[in-house]
Amino acid sequence: MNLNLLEQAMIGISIGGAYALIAIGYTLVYGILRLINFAHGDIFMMAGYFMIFCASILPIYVAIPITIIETCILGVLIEKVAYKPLREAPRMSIMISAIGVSYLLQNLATYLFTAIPIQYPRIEFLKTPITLFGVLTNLANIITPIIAILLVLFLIWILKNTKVGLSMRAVSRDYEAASLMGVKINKTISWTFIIGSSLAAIGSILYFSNRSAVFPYSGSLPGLKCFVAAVFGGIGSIPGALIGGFFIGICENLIKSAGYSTFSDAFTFVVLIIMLLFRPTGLFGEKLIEKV
Amino acid sequence: MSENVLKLSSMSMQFGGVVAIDSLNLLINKKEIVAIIGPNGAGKTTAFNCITGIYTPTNGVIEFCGEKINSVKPEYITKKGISRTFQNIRLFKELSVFENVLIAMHLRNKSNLFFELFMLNVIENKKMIDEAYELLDSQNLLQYKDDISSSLPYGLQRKLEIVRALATKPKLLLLDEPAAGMNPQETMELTEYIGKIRDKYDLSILLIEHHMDLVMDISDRVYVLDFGKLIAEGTTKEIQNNEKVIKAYLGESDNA
Repeated sequence: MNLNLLEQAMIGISIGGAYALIAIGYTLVYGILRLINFAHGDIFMMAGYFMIFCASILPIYVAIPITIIETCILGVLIEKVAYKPLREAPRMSIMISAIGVSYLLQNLATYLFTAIPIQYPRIEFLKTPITLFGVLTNLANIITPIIAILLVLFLIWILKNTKVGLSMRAVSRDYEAASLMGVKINKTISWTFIIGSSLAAIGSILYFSNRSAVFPYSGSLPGLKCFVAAVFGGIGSIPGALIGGFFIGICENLIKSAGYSTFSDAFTFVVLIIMLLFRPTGLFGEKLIEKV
Repeated sequence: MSENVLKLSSMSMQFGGVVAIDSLNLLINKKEIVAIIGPNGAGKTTAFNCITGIYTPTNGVIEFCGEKINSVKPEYITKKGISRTFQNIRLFKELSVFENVLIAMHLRNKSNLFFELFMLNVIENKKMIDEAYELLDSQNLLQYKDDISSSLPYGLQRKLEIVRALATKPKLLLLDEPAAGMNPQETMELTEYIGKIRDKYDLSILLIEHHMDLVMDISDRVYVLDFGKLIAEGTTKEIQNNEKVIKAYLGESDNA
């Protein structure tokens, strides 16, 4: 029984790592554009399909980077087509646009790839069995949280030490003043989507490699959960998204292990409601001072 | 022979039915300090926003060094050499003092993420950082370089904004009420500083200000706006004795 609990906790940490990578995408875009990018979960789903098609014609080690690049292109394309023309519009319009893109991607995937789940390629390397603390698990479960944490540290380094990172922080504070100091707004926003999408692609590879198949709606529920994770940690905060992702992933699996699988998804949204009621800024969120 | 840096030819800005600026003509020559004064709501800051590309003027032409810049985006106008400060301080609040300056310096730095990941631009970066330090030092802000910018006292935040604007290496500097909220002592120091940076960096300066001492002290020429219209222009002497200006500021007396 105890061993089962440990096993579930480990799976939880692993899923949490994947959630965290996706949640960062929400948090980054929100930080810059003040937009909840509802299409992010579907970008994650599309990354799954990209991987399937790449892996069917290419060796896996080539397919992985190509998948990441394709996902970045998709993310940037969405921004250019659906969000950029609405830069000056009220925030609600751009959010509706995001919801529209989300449905577009789901239906496009259904149209192109049919609604029948397609088998995800088996990445042998990630399936290597490993015994840790007496629990038999595989490499994917072990390295997912490690990759998530390393990538977050790398991202924080980028934000702190590079030109792009500094621009992103400036734009998120005051985009007009940033542009007047010569920061290229469009380039900075594109970079935000490149980073968010590549993390989603990596998250997608780690997430789906432990599942058998991808279907057009397989991005919507994880997407929502990661949105909750980002809100839980405080939207706009990167460490917050990481912790939120792990929290949701672990709790979900502990609830499953306790035999209440039916409620594990409901739990996520109860967390959202409680958080919004009692601490809408999340664990590490910025204080709600709206710009005038 | 003086060459003009900025030239506004009958520039107008309309918001719906409101005419914020009504065909304004304005000229700034090289190394000149020009002030725009006028009562609140006269359209001074709107003029700044038009020049820096935040608004596209409804009519007229803005020329910078002979080049039309009417609908150029703010970031590219800054690159061409116009920089500004803000009426209500708009520093990047969560960023350190040094980072605030660095962002503006980055404009002239060609590095990109790839270079930075592999440390290929160490020399260029070192040069940039040194310049940033030098700029901060010139305003005695170096000791605060790692502080969060919003934690600085008000007067220093104003100074930092000017330093940040200078870091973009402008040819024309727009100062929007640089002395707002400053005491006479600080205003005097600022006046001196503005003259100094003009000489040091070969700047032309356009400023909006309500402190008349400052305006009269350093301006070569003054433009007076009222309700979006230019009501007077000339040297400080001419302006001080201009009846229209006195009327706009003090109101009209019945027996005048």
